[in-house]
Formats: sequence, C-alpha cells, structure tokens
Amino acid sequence: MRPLIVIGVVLVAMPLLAQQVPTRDSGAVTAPKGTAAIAGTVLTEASDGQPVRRATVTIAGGGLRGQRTTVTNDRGQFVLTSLPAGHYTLVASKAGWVSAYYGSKHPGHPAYGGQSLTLEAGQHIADISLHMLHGSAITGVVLDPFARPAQNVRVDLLAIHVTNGQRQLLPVSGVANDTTDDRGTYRLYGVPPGRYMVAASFNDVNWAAGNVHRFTPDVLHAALGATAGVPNAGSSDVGGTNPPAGSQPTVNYVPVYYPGTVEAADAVEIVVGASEERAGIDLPLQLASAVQIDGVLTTPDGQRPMAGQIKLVSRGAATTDGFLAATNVVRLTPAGAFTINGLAPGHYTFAARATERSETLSGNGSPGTTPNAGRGAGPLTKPLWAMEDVVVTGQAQSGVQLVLQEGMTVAGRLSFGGVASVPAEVARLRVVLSPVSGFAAIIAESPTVQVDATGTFKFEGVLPGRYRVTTEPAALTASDGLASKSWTLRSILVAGHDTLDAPLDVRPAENVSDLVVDFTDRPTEIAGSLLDANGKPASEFRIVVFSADRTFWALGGRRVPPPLVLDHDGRFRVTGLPPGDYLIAAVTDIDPSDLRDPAVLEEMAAASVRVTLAEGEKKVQDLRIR
Amino acid sequence: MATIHGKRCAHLADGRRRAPEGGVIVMRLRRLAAGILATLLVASLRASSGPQSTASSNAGVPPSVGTGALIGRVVDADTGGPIAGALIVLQRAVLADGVYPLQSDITVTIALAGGGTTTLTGSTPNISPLNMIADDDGRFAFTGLPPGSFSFSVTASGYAGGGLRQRRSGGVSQSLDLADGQRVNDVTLRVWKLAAINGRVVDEIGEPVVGALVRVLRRVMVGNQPVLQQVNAGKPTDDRGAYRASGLVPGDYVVAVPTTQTTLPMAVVDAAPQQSGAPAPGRGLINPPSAPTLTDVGAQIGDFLLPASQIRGGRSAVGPAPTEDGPLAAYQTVFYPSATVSSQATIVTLGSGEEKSGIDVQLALVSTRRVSGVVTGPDGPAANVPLDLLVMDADQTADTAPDDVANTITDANGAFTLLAVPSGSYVLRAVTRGGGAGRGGGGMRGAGSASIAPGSMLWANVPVSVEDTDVTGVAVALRPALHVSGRLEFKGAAARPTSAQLPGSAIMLQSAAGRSAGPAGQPMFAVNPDGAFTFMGCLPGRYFVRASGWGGLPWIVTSITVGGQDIADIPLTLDASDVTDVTITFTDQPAQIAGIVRTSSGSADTKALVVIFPRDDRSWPWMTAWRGLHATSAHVTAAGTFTLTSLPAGDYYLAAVPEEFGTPQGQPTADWQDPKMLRALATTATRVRLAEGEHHSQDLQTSPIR
Repeated sequence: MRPLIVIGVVLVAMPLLAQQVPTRDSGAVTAPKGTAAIAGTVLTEASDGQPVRRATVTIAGGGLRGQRTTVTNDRGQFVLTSLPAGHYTLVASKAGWVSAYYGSKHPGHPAYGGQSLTLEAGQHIADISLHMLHGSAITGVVLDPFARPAQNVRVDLLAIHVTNGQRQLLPVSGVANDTTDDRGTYRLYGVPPGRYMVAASFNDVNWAAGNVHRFTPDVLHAALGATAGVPNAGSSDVGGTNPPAGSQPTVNYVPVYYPGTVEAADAVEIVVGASEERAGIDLPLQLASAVQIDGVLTTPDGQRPMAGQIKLVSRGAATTDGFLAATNVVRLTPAGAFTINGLAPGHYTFAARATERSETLSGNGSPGTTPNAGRGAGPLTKPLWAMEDVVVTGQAQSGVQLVLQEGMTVAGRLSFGGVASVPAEVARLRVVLSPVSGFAAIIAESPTVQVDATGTFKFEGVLPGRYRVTTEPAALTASDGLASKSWTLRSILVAGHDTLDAPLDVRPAENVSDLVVDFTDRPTEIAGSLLDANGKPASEFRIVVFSADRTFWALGGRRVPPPLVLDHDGRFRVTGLPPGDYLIAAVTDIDPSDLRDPAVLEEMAAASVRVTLAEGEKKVQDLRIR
Repeated sequence: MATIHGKRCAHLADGRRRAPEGGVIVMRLRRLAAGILATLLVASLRASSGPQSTASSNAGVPPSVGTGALIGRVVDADTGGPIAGALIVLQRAVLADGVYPLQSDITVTIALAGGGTTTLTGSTPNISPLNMIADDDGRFAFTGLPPGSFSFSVTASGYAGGGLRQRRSGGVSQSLDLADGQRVNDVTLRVWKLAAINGRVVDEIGEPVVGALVRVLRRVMVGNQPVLQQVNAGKPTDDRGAYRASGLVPGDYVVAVPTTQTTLPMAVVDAAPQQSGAPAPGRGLINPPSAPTLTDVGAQIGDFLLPASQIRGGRSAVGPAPTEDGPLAAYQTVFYPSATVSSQATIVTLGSGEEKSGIDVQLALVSTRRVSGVVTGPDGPAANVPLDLLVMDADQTADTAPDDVANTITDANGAFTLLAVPSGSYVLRAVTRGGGAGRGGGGMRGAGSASIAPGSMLWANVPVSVEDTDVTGVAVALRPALHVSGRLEFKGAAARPTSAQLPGSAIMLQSAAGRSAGPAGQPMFAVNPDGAFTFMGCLPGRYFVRASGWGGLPWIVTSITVGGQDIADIPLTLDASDVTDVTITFTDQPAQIAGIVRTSSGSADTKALVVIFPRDDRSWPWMTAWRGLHATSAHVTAAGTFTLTSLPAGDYYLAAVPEEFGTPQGQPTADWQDPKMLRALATTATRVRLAEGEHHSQDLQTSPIR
C-alpha cells in the first residue's frame, strides 16, 4: 500500500582508485547578495493538476537567515527572489493538505538530506511544480459503554511502521490529535495516504483519583435489603449492613484502539488512500474494573530506601515509544510505601529506582579510590533497582513487596591501535551507555563515566538492560610526541562480540569487567562522486552504502549507515566502516527508516556497485548514472 | 412586622446549617475545628515536604464511617429519560461531626481550650469525593455514608447541570442534610442539554478557512452598555471550515472571526536574539509552519516584517502574498454575518439546550492603508513602546474591544508603522509599564507608602481615522498614568485603626468593563498613616471604588463619594485627568436586618434567598458587574431565619427569592442582580429604611414565581 520510495538507478562503477581523496575546496568567497530566483506553481496531485491557491511556500537553507515564505496566488503561482546560491529545502503547505517537499516522493515528508534544490548565483528557475495532495479525513464517534457519545476523549492517529519485522506506532506529523465534542465526534484531517490505527483515551479530572465506582443493582439490593420495608419517598433508619462507601470496586476507562480493543495487537488497520473521507470510524470506550495495589519498596537488607520512584508500564502498550506506552510514575511515602489506584486489569511492569545511603563510601569520607558512577553524583548514595512483572486482575492487592537490588558494574579499558600505552588525552574521554531496551530503557538514564589517565573506566550501579556503548567525543587527537595522531573508534569488544554491531546486554547480577574500547588511527573510508550521463554532478541523489552481508541488515547498526547527501560537486564520503564487503546505491529520495526494511535494501542491492574494504583501507569509488 | 429601634436582637448563628446534635456541642466542635486549622498551617510549614500537606476545608467523604444512603437517578430535565453512564460526584460539605480529613503523613497537635494538648495522626487516607457511574437506567446509590451535608454534581457528555433540586441549566443547586443512618431513596438529579452554535468559516471565494479561531462572545449589559465577554474557546475550524461552540448557557451571543495585523520593524527583529530558525544541516527538516520563530518571518516589506503567522492572516485564513508596492490586501475581523464592528453584528440568542446551526462567516479581503507616526515620552522619542489599534464603535471601547485590529512596536527612534489597517475609526493605544513596579495592588497591601515607587507608567489614547489614503505623522504623546486619590474618614466612637493598621485596608479600583483587570492590571495604591490614599498607574476607563474594613475592628464602609457625589454603587469615570477627592467613610454603627421567611402556608421557608438592594435605581444597571455597597444577599437558615449585617444607612428593597436565583456556577454575579429582575422584585418587595446602627426586624413571605 505504501508508495515505493526508492528510485534506484543503474550505476556504472568508474575505475577504482586507491588513493587519497582530494580535500574539498575551502576557499570561501564573500557571499554576494542573492541573485537567484525561482518561480513555480502549486498544483493538485491529480493528473489534470488544478492550481492550489493560498498555499504557503517556504524556502529555507542556502545562505538565508531563517527562511522565506510566500503565498500562491489564485492560479497557484509563486515567486521567490534575491536568493543566494546554495542548497535549499522548498515546501508547499496548506492547512488540511499534505505538505509537498520539492524533490521528495513522500507526501508530507522532506527528501532525506533535505536540501534538494540547488541554486547557482544568478540562476533563475521558472518552472518548478509542487504537487499537493488534499489530506484525507478520518471521523467517527466515541461512545461510552452505555452507547452514549463521550465528550473530551482524546483521539490519536498512529501511523504503522514496520521495522525489522516489528510493528511500530508513531504519531503522524502534520496531523493533530483531536478531542471529541459534546456529540462524541472527532475529526482527524490532513492525513497522508498510509496505514493507520486510531486510538481513544479518556482523561477527566474526576477520574484522576481512580476512585470512580460503578452502580450495579447489587449495590442497591444491599442497601435496600437492609430494611424490610418497600422503598418510598423520604427516608428511614438503616441498620449497619450497608457496604461501606469506599469498599466497592472502582472502574476506569481504558484506552482503546479501533474498532474497540484494548490490545494494540488486536487493532484493525485503517488503510487510507489519497484525499478520501473515512467516516464511521467509531470507537466504543471500555470500562474496566480497576483495583488498588499497595506495597512497599525495600533495600536488599530490608531497609527503606532514601528516595525512589516506581514507573508502571503497561505491557499491553503497542510500543515502548508509541502512544499507549504512557507510564505512570508512582511516588513513595518516606517509609517506602506506595499506593496505586484505579489500575485496570492487564499486564504491567513495575520498574523501581531508588537510592540508599552507601556505608562504604560515606564511612571514611575518601571516595577517591573508586571511579564514581553517574554524572557527578555525590558519593553518599548508591543506586538500586527492582523490576517486577505484575498481572492485575479484578482483585485488589496489598502488601506487594518490591525488593531492590544493587546495580551492576561495567568496567573496561581503552586501547589505541593495539599498543600498550595510551595517549595522555585519554582522560578527556567519557564512556556513555545509552539504553536500548529493558529496565534501563524504561528508566531512560544514560550513565556516563570519565576515563582515567591509565585508560580504564568503571560504571557502578548500572541497571539491567541492553545498551549502546559510545564515547564522548567519538574521536581523539593525541599529541603523541612530534606526530599528532587522530584516533577514531574501531570496535568495542566484550567476550569477542562487538557492541558496535549489537548492543551490550547487562544482565541482573552479572558484572561486565572486560569491555575493550579500541581506537584506530587508520579508519577506513569510501569516497567518490556521482555524475549523470552527461558527466554533470548529480547532487540531487542520495548515496546508500550498506553491508553486503544480509545478516547485518536487520540490526540497523553501523554497517548500514544513514544515506549520504552529495555536495555541490556530487561528492560523497563515509569513514570508519568496519572491514568487509559493501554495496553502494544511488537513490533520488529515501528516508533513513527505510534502510531498516530488508526489502528496500534488497531492491537497492540489485542496482548497486560492490566495494571490499580491508582493515584501514581508503577507497575511491566514482559512480556514473547510465 | 414590628420595627425595633436601637435594641439588640438575639444573635443568630451565622447562617450555616446546624448539625442535629445541638447547639452547645456544635459550638465546641467549631472552636476545635478552628484550632485544628490554625495548627495545621503551622504543621504544613514545618513539614514543607510536598504539596500534599494542606488541609482542605471542603472535606470529602471518609469511607466506612456511616450507615446512611443516597439513592436516586440522573434524568434529562426536558424528557425525563435516564442518563446512562453519567458520572455523579458526591461531596460532603463542611465538617459537622468531628471527623476531620487529614493526610496520613501529618500529625497535628491541638491545644485544647481548657488547657493541655491532644495529638491526632492522620488516619483518613481517602479524602477525595465519591464518584459513581450511573447504570443503564441512570440509577446510582451511595451507601455507608456518615451524616453530613452532601452536594452532588453530574458530568454527562452534551449535558450540563445535575445539582440537587436544580431548576434550570446554569442554576443554583442545593445540598442535602443526611442524618445518622438516614436513607434518601428519591434523589433526582436533572441535567439539561447544552446549547451550541455551529457554522462554517469560508474565504472570499467560498473555500473553507482551516484553523481559524472563532470567538463566541456572550453579550451582556453593564451600565446599560453592551459588553462582550469571552466564553471558553472551542477548537479551531476543521478542514471543512466548520466550528462548534458547545456548552453555552442561554443568552445573547456575538460570533466573530478576529484578525490582528502585526507589523514588526526590521531593526527590532534584527536586534532580537537569533533563534533556531535555520535548518539543521544534513537532516534538512524545516520548522513546521505552525511553530514560527521570530526569524521565521514570512515577508519583508521595506524596513518592516509581516510575521509568518501574519501571512496566514493573523489568526485565520492565509492572505495573499504581500507586495512591496501598492496597498496590502488583508482579511478584516468579521462579526457574524458580515459586520466589521460588533455593534452591527447579528445577535444569536440561545435558549436552554438550543442548537443554532448555519452561523456561517465569510471572510472578506479588504484593501488596507498604512498608519505611521512617532511616540514621544517625557524624555523625547520612546523606543520599544507597544501599540494597539482598537476599533472605536458604539459597542466597543478601548475597555471592551475583544481584539486588536493591528499592533506593532516603536523602533529606536520612537517611530512606528502599521502596514495593513482597513478603513475605519480607531483609537491607537500605547501603554508602557513602569520598571520594577510590578502588577497588581494586592501585593502592595500593607506596605508603607515610602516603599512604593511613583507610578512611572505612561499611556496615550489617540483617535485615528483611516479612509482611502495612508495616515502619516500620527503624534502619540505619552503622559503619566492617572492618579486617583482621597482619604479614609471615620464616623463613630470606636478606636480608629492605628497608623500601622491603616495601610492594611483593602481598597481597590475594579474595572467596570466586566474584565477582571484592565490592560495594565490593577492600579497600585498606598495608604498613608493619616488616612490619605493614592492609586497610581490608572488608565482611563470606568472603575468601581471598593473598600473593606480591618479584621477585628468594627468599621464598615458606609459611603464612597467623589467631589461630594455618591459613587458607592456606580463606577467612577476616569478620563484624561487625575481624581483627587475620593472620600471613603467608615462607620462603627452598621445597620442590620433580621427576620424569618415563611411560605404562603405560613411554615418556615428553608430554601429561600433573602436579597436587599437600594431604592435608588441608578445603580441597578451596574449590578451585573458589581452589586455595590447597598446590595447583598443571604441564604436562610434551616429554621427559615435570616440576618443581613454590615449595612450602611439608607432606603432599601427587601425580598425573599427562591434559592436558585443565587450566583450560578461560573458566573460572577447572581441572577437576582439582573436589572430586569430587580425591577420585577421592586414591585412586590418590602421597603425598608435603615438608620445608622439600627437593628431592624422584618419577616418575609415567599410566593410562587411564575
């Protein structure tokens, strides 16, 4: 359904040269006042292309400070003058319409690398056409369980992306969420063609406290059963048998996906074509009985933590970064107790983060011997964590005990070209762990640690999860005696496994002690230029360099780097690829997320040129469009 | 019906309903409650651990403490049909039985009146109200309730209201007193379908205008003049140009699609710090047009910029591309159906639950002219002075205009240009705020006069008429803000406020335009130890002078005059000059009036509202904004008795009205304050003349209202 975005071209490999790429011409000339100008027409996408009046046309980039905007006239025409030479992004937008970016085949998306319009000094382009798609609209009614319209319900449009075979739900740029009106209706408009889900979530201040009860005949019978008499107007004395007001079960509205399911996996996709009106996308809200969960958070030795919080993640959530992954943050009392109200049935992950006073560090007051974990945190606290999967049924639970565990240590050293010694500048480097998944990703902390003068480092209190390991900065210039050398990251190995290809997995109670961060002064490089059939630079293309080894395609790591944007002369360059076989393709328009779709890579592979990189090798591969 | 002069009547309770236990116990518990509240404040200061350590005086329902029950239904007031799924919120009013809501983390030590202390630890974990969803038949039942005074509110989509014994949408509801173990089976909560206005906004050729903010303004009369009040804004128009304003109370409305033409001098833009307008290299994402920064300026015209939002037509339609030469075309503010000033708008009158559709507005492109000139202050040309161009119209004054037609700011030379002004009669308003003076008089209360800087605020109002040529050379001469001064006087033998207490008097100027504050906020004021006071930083307009006494002192305001003319109930008009002779007189001999309200059958009316208002009807048209010194109201007690205290001497009307004529939810004034209602009440009300210090006795009878 999705429009195919990759326009591959058949490439001819120019003679391969193993030599240094000429450095770019950096002789900057003072920029004259802009003399280039463009004119064009904004038309509808249809074949007969009707003019789009009052579209806002915006140009940005080049030598402009900020951006310039104009508006099309009744014939859809626009003019922009006094533009300095340079690379520009040009976009036409209009409320209710899908923005059209010059050079992009994706409605609503800029071309990758953005600046797809190149202007030379004094150049006049008069025949630019931008084709806009009138956005589609999705409308419907949100109903409560009593089939009445539900007001003030937030309705979100989520685009379905498939990455590495997994479905991801992402908000749609240019389409605002809506809130139902007093008739329960909503309308999402300006929608580009695509595959979507619609989700409704109810947020009302009266429900925030989580103590909404639902009337049932049982409640009434209990109340009436206490007296023998027939209920009549007025009042009578009641014995003590009524259920107390606070003990009845509470209910809560749970977010639903069209056509009325709580689980994203059961949601029905809405496939939207161009400029269509999809009415009747109605969502019935669901009322779920909600319970209260009480518990306490304790340190490994049964003490209360100094401070802490619990994050609650619904595992029914579509994605970790999607719409319904909204986490509840639960605050603790000073005694470490917590109460969570109004929890709908479902699968949850409780992720607790706390600190305790560290006796070992506070005792002698000299923390200097151990490198300090965390960003300049005081030495007196120690991070702890707990993670528990909890299945919430209709029953209230109390006395839930979350026992905190100590974090793990991750230690390692830096190596420079396999030489034993390290440059003095090594102490400027920091090692960063960026969480990818697991507990660490829920808590969303990126621990950072300084490298010491001997080139070693140590994280303490690392939370379990998968991490991407990087250094800050990623390169180092060492004044090694007379010769100054530039060192760049080559590999980060743990037990023979390169974490630059797949993230580091920190498992509970397993410390990592042998992380080797290896730098090289001979980074690989592939450079070249792309010329069209007439021998002119084809700057509007993007170059994709990717590993020929298909096992790396799904990982989305460094062996499939983001597309390369060509410079004015059609030149490209990529450095630091690990040795191996690579494919080079030229495409007119691509989104970086497309590179995580093996089918797209397969398509590009068919029209690609192969290059083999050895350790430290620099290659020049010029390309020509046939 | 006897009148007792100069005698002391038995002092009645303060109108609050008594708990059934009996007076002595109630009094003791009240005193205890005061002790707890006072101590709680101290406790929360000490704890300072979080926002939760405050005590609510409007307690919730402690669970598991009673056997009472409230059973009933939610119904559509018009059809009587059930409202399934309605959310009923039950709240218990002020403490009556010694159960206090406390947060579980707070320990409170109470000093007992008879000496000694006792300690309470918070043991009521849940102090929030009880919420319940009605079933398919609109039924609900709250059980296990402690005794107390309960009130209901109902939330149901498309409906409003739902209070107990509420009789109309937006009306006043009553509370219900539940005795220990009592069960009420017949609670009926009525809700009213909300009124709404629907329509479309299209441009000059009939294409939908997307994203326009449509203002639905409620038109009310204040002082016999219409004032447009902002109602809660709905959503912008959708891709069909459609809008809907719902949840409207019955009344008169005006619908407008406002535009404001903003002009920025290039020099001011260049001087502003560069924002992140440039696209990030490599990624090439431009800022979405919905988030313009200062440098995202759409069009430069000579030395001026029209902001990107401006190109999109102020707040609504996209206008044509601006050009360097020739007059600019711009969308002008339109009032439904096609008026450019609100006085010519068609008034949309909504009844209860009524839905008016087809309230469509077509925007029109009009040719515009430039308006330029120079702003000068006491020290010469004034830079960076904001200017607003406002419509002058029978219906709109600088006080009440809902939106600017155009605005700009002066450059370093004090010069200004408004690039796109449609023809019309305007006033150009400039207001500069004095440095460091801050806003609002509230913060200045109790401060000595020495600490208040002289008002350095400057202003100007210059009439501008635009026809078919550019207007140049408009001279805007800033002048110091106005002062309103006068003195406090005291009639009576009681000890006067000390010079330390005097500055603590709460006196204020309140805009009569129906807005909470004028463009410059509340004027600042100072009271000297000798009783002289001065408001600084006042702008022209109409203001009520309001004053209140000092806690613990017997003084009440008995009259407010300016130049000997009574302004106790009508606003003071401030034009271009200072006012120096305001006299606020206090007395220690306030009059009061007490009695009992009976129904036509002779029994005590326990649900009436007793109102008193002045015989002089000149102030009546203003009572929709403020009721003045001579009007007040009180609910009767459970025994049907009432007491109105702190009244100045004078001639009054006294009447008992149904309770629902009190102040509706969300409304600043009560329904009985409507001039039409006052005129109707005056025909049957009891005439009363109150002398200084008189304690008057007057019984009243209610009769059914048609």
